[in-house]
Amino acid sequence: MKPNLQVHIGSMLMANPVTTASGTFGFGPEYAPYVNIDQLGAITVKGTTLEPREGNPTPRLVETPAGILNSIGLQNPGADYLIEHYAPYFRELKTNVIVNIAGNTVEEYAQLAAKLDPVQGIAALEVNISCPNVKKGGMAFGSDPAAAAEVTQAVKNATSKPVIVKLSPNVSDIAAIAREVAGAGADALSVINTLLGMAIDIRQKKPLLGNIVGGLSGPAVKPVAIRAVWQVYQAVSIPIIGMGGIMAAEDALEFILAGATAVAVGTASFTNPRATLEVLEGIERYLMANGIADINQLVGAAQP
Amino acid sequence: MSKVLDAKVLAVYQVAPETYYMELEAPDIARLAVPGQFVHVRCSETQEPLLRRPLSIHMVSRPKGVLALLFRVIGKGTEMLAQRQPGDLVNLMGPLGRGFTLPLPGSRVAVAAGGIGAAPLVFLVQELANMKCQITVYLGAKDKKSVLCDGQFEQMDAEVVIATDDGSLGWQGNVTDFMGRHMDWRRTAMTYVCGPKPMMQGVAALLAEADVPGEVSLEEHMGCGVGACLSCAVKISHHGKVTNKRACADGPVFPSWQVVWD
Ligand SMILES: Cc1cc2nc3c(=O)[nH]c(=O)nc-3n(C[C@H](O)[C@H](O)[C@H](O)COP(=O)(O)OP(=O)(O)OC[C@H]3O[C@@H](n4cnc5c(N)ncnc54)[C@H](O)[C@@H]3O)c2cc1C
Ligand SMILES: Cc1cc2nc3c(=O)[nH]c(=O)nc-3n(C[C@H](O)[C@H](O)[C@H](O)COP(=O)(O)O)c2cc1C
Ligand code: FES
Repeated sequence: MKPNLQVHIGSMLMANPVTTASGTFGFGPEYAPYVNIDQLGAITVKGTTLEPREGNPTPRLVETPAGILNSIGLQNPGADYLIEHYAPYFRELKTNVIVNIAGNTVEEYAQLAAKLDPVQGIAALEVNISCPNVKKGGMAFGSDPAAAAEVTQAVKNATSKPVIVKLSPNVSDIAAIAREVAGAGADALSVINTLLGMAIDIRQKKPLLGNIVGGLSGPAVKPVAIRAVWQVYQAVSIPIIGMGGIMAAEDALEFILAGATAVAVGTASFTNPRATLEVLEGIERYLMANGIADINQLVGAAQP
Repeated sequence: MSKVLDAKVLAVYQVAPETYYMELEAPDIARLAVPGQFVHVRCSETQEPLLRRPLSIHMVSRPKGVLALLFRVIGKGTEMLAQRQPGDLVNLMGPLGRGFTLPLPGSRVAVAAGGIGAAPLVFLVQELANMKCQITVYLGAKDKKSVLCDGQFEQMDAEVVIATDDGSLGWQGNVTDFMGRHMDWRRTAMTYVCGPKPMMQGVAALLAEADVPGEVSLEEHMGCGVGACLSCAVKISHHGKVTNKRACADGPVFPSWQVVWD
């Protein structure tokens, strides 16, 4: 018998627990030649701001051992463009589309959420309070529990869509932030965004990234991400979307056992454009091989 | 539509210092490819290196379903790729990107290649020769040993002008200087350029000065290769407005007059 793969993220029903990590999958069509997007539980699209942004200087990407550092800087065409050009495409998809949002101020987050609230084809909002690549906003909100709660509440008040808040690992106590954000009404949490990092070119004696610092992702961050999901699961009762270095189903299963209800595949899509679907197929095979009837039985199963 | 597939290595050999030629069986990519496009190559089967490497499509044989690459070994990825043996499988995504704009059949065209920049231009000249264009290739290299693809260009009936930095073959100096002195731009319908950035910038300046059209193929570090991650931003000016374009999806080929060099 086929196991049940359906999971709930707030009021959003996902046919299976696999989505994409924001910023690694564009708006969806970019990967359509390689993946039947409707087979995924959701897609999470590029971070969007009220106004278009041009992002950071190049180089924006550096390969590091088992990972990459990026400093894209939230380049995006802005909310109006998203609504006009991508929302019609989102409406044609059978899967859920989660739009990742960012702003410089609490008001901007709220305005953006309000603007996207009536847009059909958007299933949920993921609030990025954890981007290490922008000067204002971003991580500044994600590292202060009170500010994180304030943004969460403002977005919740501005939309009826499920609100997922994306947490930064660049904090001393991620559980404390999670508790505040959950208390402020978040429907779910995404754990984790990238780790702030840096690399230097020893020949030129200069930083390798145009922006000097960037966000580390890929297999190198997985143990940090698993630990973060583990701690957040113990701190809150809302669902968690786990991410950070998922390359294969085995990695995704670690996240689920640590407490993630769903998982997002990011950097892996660069290595293997079919990684999202291969992770999903692997999860299903694992459930069948182990006689587990429902994926939800596995969520947090490694917890004491 | 682009594919991802395992392609069998048919041949691999060194053609110049640090430079390798590789033939792969990839009929689905060869069939769709146009000159100037690239493939995103997984250089190992492990997670080291994690990212794919963009390499231009050097040549295709559609009847044989064969695709060829020409690459310089400069780091980890290309070094691993050069060690692949006939019979090995190499995972490719492609064809990717926007290629060169072809001229009217029979046009007089110039092709400027600097170093490994010759790689995509062989496929281009293949196509231009099929269109009965009159082709002059300006081929620049460090020295005689490093001159690439001159025989291939000649076989396709292109006129070949060689410039080497040390003068060990052809004209002594760089391609840009040669073109600056000797080109008759009024008789050239289109100029195609691929090489190191200073060379492309130099030729683009000549084209701008002569007010004639040209295209350059840009390089930028890439993640996804499909337009999703915005790693590969290049500055492009369109009607006076400068925006970031994606080298992988909006390029790698851009009109020479639109590129903002920095
Ligand atoms: C569209 C396009 C077509 C190309 N076609 C060819 C070709 O036909 N033949 C050829 O020899 N080279 C080509 N290059 C350059 C080639 O991609 C790099 O030489 C290669 O990625 C180096 O990898 P590495 O692991 O050996 O070097 P490393 O220095 O170890 O690479 C480290 C990282 O930097 C990136 N990188 C380093 N140099 C470049 C570069 N010049 N351009 C883009 N990324 C770079 C790598 O992809 C990798 O992510 C092309 C580049 C682009 C963007
Ligand atoms: C190139 C790139 C761009 C990203 N852009 C965003 C973004 O716009 N918003 C966001 O919340 N996270 C962004 N991220 C973070 C990812 O969504 C994810 O949290 C992180 O990369 C960890 O997952 P991974 O190791 O599977 O990539 C980006 C990551 C990468 C590599
Ligand atoms: S490499 Fe990802 S957008 Fe160009």
